[in-house]
Amino acid sequence: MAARDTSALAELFDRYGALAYGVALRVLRDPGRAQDAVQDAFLRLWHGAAGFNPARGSLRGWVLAAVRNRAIDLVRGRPGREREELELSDAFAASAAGPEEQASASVERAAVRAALADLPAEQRRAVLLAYFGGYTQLEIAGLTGVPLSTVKGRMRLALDKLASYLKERGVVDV
Amino acid sequence: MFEQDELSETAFAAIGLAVEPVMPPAALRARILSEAEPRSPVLTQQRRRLPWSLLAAAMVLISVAAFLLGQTLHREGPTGPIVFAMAGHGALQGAAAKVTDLKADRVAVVEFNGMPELPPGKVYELWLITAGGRADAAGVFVPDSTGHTVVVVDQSLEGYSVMAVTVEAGPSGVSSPTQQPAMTGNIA
Repeated sequence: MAARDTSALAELFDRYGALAYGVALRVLRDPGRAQDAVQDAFLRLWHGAAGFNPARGSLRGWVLAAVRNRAIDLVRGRPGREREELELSDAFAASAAGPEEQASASVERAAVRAALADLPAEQRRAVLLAYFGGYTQLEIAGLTGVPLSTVKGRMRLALDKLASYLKERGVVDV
Repeated sequence: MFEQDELSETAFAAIGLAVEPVMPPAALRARILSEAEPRSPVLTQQRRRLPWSLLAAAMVLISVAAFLLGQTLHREGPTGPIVFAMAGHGALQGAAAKVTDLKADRVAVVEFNGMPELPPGKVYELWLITAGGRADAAGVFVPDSTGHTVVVVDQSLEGYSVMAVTVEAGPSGVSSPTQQPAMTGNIA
């Protein structure tokens, strides 16, 4: 029975493992720590520690959130300076929505990248710092040298725009 | 972290989809499976095709039990989960099942209760039946000693109008039902 159960877990890993590992790598920039994050997240999911509520989203979104949260836990243990250097690279701005990307990437990935690329730079930076760096709004204010109220406004505007963009393209059901 | 309405929260979560998937090392997969095995939840479930169904069932049941239990028929939005009921009759009188159609995942979770013990060599077989009467096999299962089990149907229920259960020859079941269903429910 155990073997049959873990074959099911293997299927889940095969289905979402590459995306999960990609997110963990993007957050941590360290293969060893990214693997730790993915392993911890999948085992937590497996043992039911991070309950799934189908009313709140898809399995993919649930897996993605679990891995991202675990990776953020790990990255928060790093010195602030290191996190800052990692996250301010803003890699998506440079790579977003080019013609090659549109052709080769999945439609969803291209849509999300295009949505991010469409944001003003300061808004994009704020949401990427929050998502991939796990920074609070207060921390982002400190990093970017603007008032907290400005960060809050940028986040709100950015997420509203992202939501509208992705809703129009049917990518909101993560 | 910050206040967001539901759509903004979903948009925030979607940022992760911008990441290029990276194939993890095979050793990571093996390590996760090795770690999971000793404490795997035990589910008495068999299907002809078992992708991630058992895991999904275990995960779903943990936190969706409240969602399922106590509700006879619950509907949400066009892509949200929809719950249907199946009732036994004849040999399966008193047995019941709740079907949660996770439309967004193209998966349905079927939780059976009160299923009678099977004769030796027999299995229960689940069927998806179209409005035109075509029955497609959706898996076989054997309940536990309490008559309970969970089956995950790893496909969309779209295009089907009835879910049904028959008793068939084990261990793999049959390709077409050999008897009238003793449990049915409308799923359309």
